This record gives sequence, C-alpha cells and structure tokens, in this order.
Amino acid sequence: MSYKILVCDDEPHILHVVSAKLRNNGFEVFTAADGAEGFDLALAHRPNLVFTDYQMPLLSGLELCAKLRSDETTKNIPAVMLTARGYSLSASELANTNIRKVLVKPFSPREVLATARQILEGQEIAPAACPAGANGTYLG
Amino acid sequence: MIQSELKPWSQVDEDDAAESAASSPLPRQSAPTPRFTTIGQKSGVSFDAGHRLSMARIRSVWAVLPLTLAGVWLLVGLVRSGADHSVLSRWSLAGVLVLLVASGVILVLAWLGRRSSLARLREELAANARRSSLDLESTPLGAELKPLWEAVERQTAEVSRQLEELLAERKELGLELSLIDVQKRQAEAILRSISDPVIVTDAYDQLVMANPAAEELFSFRCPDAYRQPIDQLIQDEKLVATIRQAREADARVARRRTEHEIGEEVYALTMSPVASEPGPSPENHGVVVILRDVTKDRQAARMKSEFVAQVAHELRTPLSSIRAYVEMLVDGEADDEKTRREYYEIIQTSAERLGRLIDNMLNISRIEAGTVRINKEAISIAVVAKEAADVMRPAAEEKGITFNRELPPVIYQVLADRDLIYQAILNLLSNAVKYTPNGGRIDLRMTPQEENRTMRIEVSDTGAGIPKEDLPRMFEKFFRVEQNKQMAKGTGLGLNLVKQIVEVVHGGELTLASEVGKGSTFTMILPLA
Repeated sequence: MSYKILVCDDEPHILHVVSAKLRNNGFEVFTAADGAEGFDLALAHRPNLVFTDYQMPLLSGLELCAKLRSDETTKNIPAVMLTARGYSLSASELANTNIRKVLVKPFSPREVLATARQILEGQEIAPAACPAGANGTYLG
Repeated sequence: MIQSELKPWSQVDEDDAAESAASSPLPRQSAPTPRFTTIGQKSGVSFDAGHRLSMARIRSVWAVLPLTLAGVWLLVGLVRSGADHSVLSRWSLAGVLVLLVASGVILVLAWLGRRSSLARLREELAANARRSSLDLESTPLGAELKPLWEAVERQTAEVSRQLEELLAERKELGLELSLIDVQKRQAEAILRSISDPVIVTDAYDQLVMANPAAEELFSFRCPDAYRQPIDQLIQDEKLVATIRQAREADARVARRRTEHEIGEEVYALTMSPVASEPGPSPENHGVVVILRDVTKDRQAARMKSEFVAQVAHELRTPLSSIRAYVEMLVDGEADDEKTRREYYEIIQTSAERLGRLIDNMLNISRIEAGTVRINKEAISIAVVAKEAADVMRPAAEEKGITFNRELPPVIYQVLADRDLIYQAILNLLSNAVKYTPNGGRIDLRMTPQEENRTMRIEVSDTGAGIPKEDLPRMFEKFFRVEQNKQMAKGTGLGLNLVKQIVEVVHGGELTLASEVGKGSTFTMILPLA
C-alpha cells in the first residue's frame, strides 16, 4: 500500500512540481490550491502526510495545520511547511500543530522527497539545532 | 564751664573717628587733605583785630587767679582775726570782694567770647557750606577743632569712597543681572522652539522647566506646574520612575537613552543629568528629558521590513519554480518530451515573472527618486490597452470571469511613455482579476472626451470591493485591504505605481469608486495628444 500525501499551495507551478516528484516516486498525491480546500481533502482522504505552503488564500498553512491537529480524525497527521518567508515560525505558532519540518523556498524537490520518506518510512528525524529559518529545521 | 562742656564732646568725636577708622574693613589710603583756605585769599572775608584780641584770648581759667587770691586773702584774714579775736578788717573784706568781682567779670567775658566764637564758627561753616570750602583755621575755635574735623573729613572720604565702590558694584551687578535675564530668555526661547517635548527636573524631582510640546503631551500648564513634583504632573508611573532613576544614577554618565510608550506613540527618551560641577564625583541636580516621537520612524522601519519580507517572498516564488523544475530535468523526472517541454516553459514563465517583479520595484523607486527614464511619444492608447487585456485574458478565463472590452478607434493618441502606460493598465486589470471571484465580470471601457481633449479609461469589476474607510489609503505604498489579503498575493505596490505613472509622469488623474461586495471602478484620465 502506498502512502497518501496531501500537497497544498496556491502557486500552481509549485503544486505541480511537488506532486510530480512525489508521484514519480510512488506516493499517492492529492492537491489543493488553498487551505480550506486542503482541509476538506484531508478529511476526505486521511493522508499520511501533508505538505503545505504558508501563505495561502482563505486558510493559511499554519491555520490549516492547527485545524488538522484539533480535529479528531486528522490530529495525528504529520505536516511539513513550505515557506518563502525568510524567518522561522515561532514556537507558539508551532505549538498547536503537527509540523515536523519547515522547508524554505526556494527548496529542492529532492529535499521534499527525502523529507517525505524520512517521516513516512520510519526513518529517525532527530531534532536538530539549526539557524532560524534555515532549510532542514526539524521540529519534534 | 564751657570748656568742660566742649572737651568731652570733642573727645568723643575724635575717639569715634579713630575707632571707625580702625574698624574700617578697607585699607586706609593716604589721608585726605583737609580743604583749608588762607584768610583773605580765597575766602575774601576780613575779620577785625579787636574782636580777635578781646574775645578769643580771654579764657575762663583765668578767673581762677583772682579767685585763689581772694581765697588766700580771706584765709589769712580769718587766721589773723582768729588769733587776736577781732573781726575781719574792712580792707580785707573789700579786697576779697574786689577779687571775687574780678573773677566773675573774667568768667562772663570768657563766656561771651566763647559764645561769639561759636556763633562766628557757625557763620563760617554756613558760608563755607555755601562755598563748598572750609576755612577752619580762620577762627581760633576752628583751629582747635581741626584734628577733629580732619578725622571727620577722613571718615567722610572713606565713606564716600566705599559708597562709590558699592554703587559701581551695584551697577555691575545690574548689568550682569540683565545679561543673565537676556540669556535666560534666550534659553527659554530655544526651549520653546523645540518641537520635541522637553522637561527639566531638579534634585527633588520637581519640574523646573517645560516647553509647550511637553505641556501638551502631559496636559499641564506652566507656570502653575513649576516646582510641582513630577509624579503629580505626569500620570505615567513608569516614566516618572525612569526620570528618577536617571537623576539617581552616576552623574558622570553623560546621558542615557531609552524608549518609552505613551498611549500608542513611541518616544525615544534622552535623559541628560544636570551635574553640580565637573569633577571626579559630581552630584546630580536634576535631569533634562527630551522625548522624541519616533512612532512614524518605527512604522516606516516596520513597513520597510515588511516590504522587504514581501518582496523576498514575491521573488522567491518564481525562483522556487525555476530551481525545482531545473532539478526535475536534471534528475530525469520528466520522462517524455511533452513533460520536458512543459517544464522548460514553466522555467521560462517564471524567469519572466521574476524580471517583471524586479522591473516593477525599480520603476517605483525610479519614479520616486525622480530618475525614471521617460520616453513620451504619441501612442494609440487602444493598441496599448488591447495588449494589456490580451495578457490578462487567460487568467480571467481560468476563473470563469467575463472580460468585456470597449475600445475606441485606434486614431486616438495620447502623449505617453508606452511601457509605463501599458504597465499601469496591466496593473489595474491584474487587480481586477485577482479580487474578482470566479464567474464575475470585468469591464475595460475607454471613452474619448472631445470637449476637454482627454481619454477616459475605466476598469470595473464585480469583485470584493473596498471598505469606505480604506478608500483614501488605497494608493498608499504597501497598503492592502486587510479583509481582501487572503484573496490574492501582492506587494501593495501595484496601485501606487499606477498612481505615480498616471499623475506624476503623465499629469493625468486616477480615481477610485468602490462598494464592498459589489465591486470597484478605477478611472484613469489621460490628456490626448
């Protein structure tokens, strides 16, 4: 059985490339262009992992993750944040989410794939002290 | 008798003069020269010789001689009469009587002479007073009074010298005082002219000075507020504590700066101690507090950093696409030619978008700096508008938006910079597409106004609309309607750029009408060529 991954981004090219990379490597991918659509898809398909952009119409990536965490059926779904913001998210912002890692744009599709494999295929993700906002910031 | 009266009087005066001279704090300078004049020369007054002889030379002491003789005679007579038990002889009594009368006459003459001398002296003094000169030696008594008079003269001279010194000192102090007054008024004028609130406190944290800006900020009135404790004048415990700390702090610390919020305003506080005197351990006598409103600076700094963050975000998005698709191609993730072509095109589009973004930002910055290169020529406005509309049509179609165009004949021309006008129309259309929900309608309507030789270009949509309170701010840089932020990304620069292109570069006019939930209409008026 393949893992199901939800990708949310309002930027069609990003949505396209992330889902292409994941599909090419055997994952089942659902895509949403905004947070609200993403939440509906998450409820409908119960993905194993969510990749979401930070800045999106209707529902931001952070709001989406908080909403997923607070819903009984989606509360254990891990999430990865893709952001073009040059700064890291604060601890209080992350507290009510299942965000495990933040990838800062411009990111590499290889990195997306590696992160998905690490989280889903049980590879250990150790919390690492990284410079704020730098790629590869793992969050426990 | 007169002698006995005169003597103590003169002694007292002389003693006083000596004492006064000794106790004088000022060193005694050369003794003043008494102003005596020679008789008959300066005075011009003549005295009769008889008067001098008869009156001045008869002294009361002379009466003692006949009196003693009479006493001796009487005593001898009495001794003799006691020895032979006879009464005093008539000759003896007569002799004694004559002697007594003689001494009486001497006394009367002496008294008269003295009285006349005093009267004379008074006259002389009065005359001298009128002449402003003294002729003491001219009278016998005057000569006698000379030492006393000299002492008085010295004393008078000393007193007048001291008086002159004091008057000079007073004049000097008066000048200094008026100078200080001028300086004080200058300092107050400087203080009043400072637009930042300034307050000065003393060693007891009382108000010493404040300018009108401070009066307004803290709502107190000078001079009523002077010498009032600042904790009663300033209803801000934290600020009062900060000022107190600055006063209590080491006076050698030149000044301290901190930031303080009053209401919604942010003030940069500069507190300089008023030290007693320069030295190794001066004491603070108070504090000068300057409050500079830095709210706008802070806002500008925040807007700038928000802008930079937004710009970085905008630039990163196409850059992300370029990087990701290139990597996909490198990694062989695109199996077939069709996919590869698709990826190449995405890379190309993203690169173009990146270029446009940079152009946009540079344009604004150039227009603002006045360094934009403007190439005005007669252009057919309909052609330029059609080009912009063609670029936006796919995006409108994607959202199911009806895009209606009413363009005038191509003969209408405006004198404009082609690229900038294209950019302005494109920005308005792009906004309309961004903020119009799926299935909406956009109208691009251009109508020539022959009567005032202008072209009216309207872009209307059936989009989200703009709240009334936000309308005046719509053309501000970085401003975005909070409620509509979620609908689309943006830098808040697009409309500002349009406004600058239309009004600053082309001398046209850009206006806006909008209603929440119904849509917006942007109207651009450009002069015809």
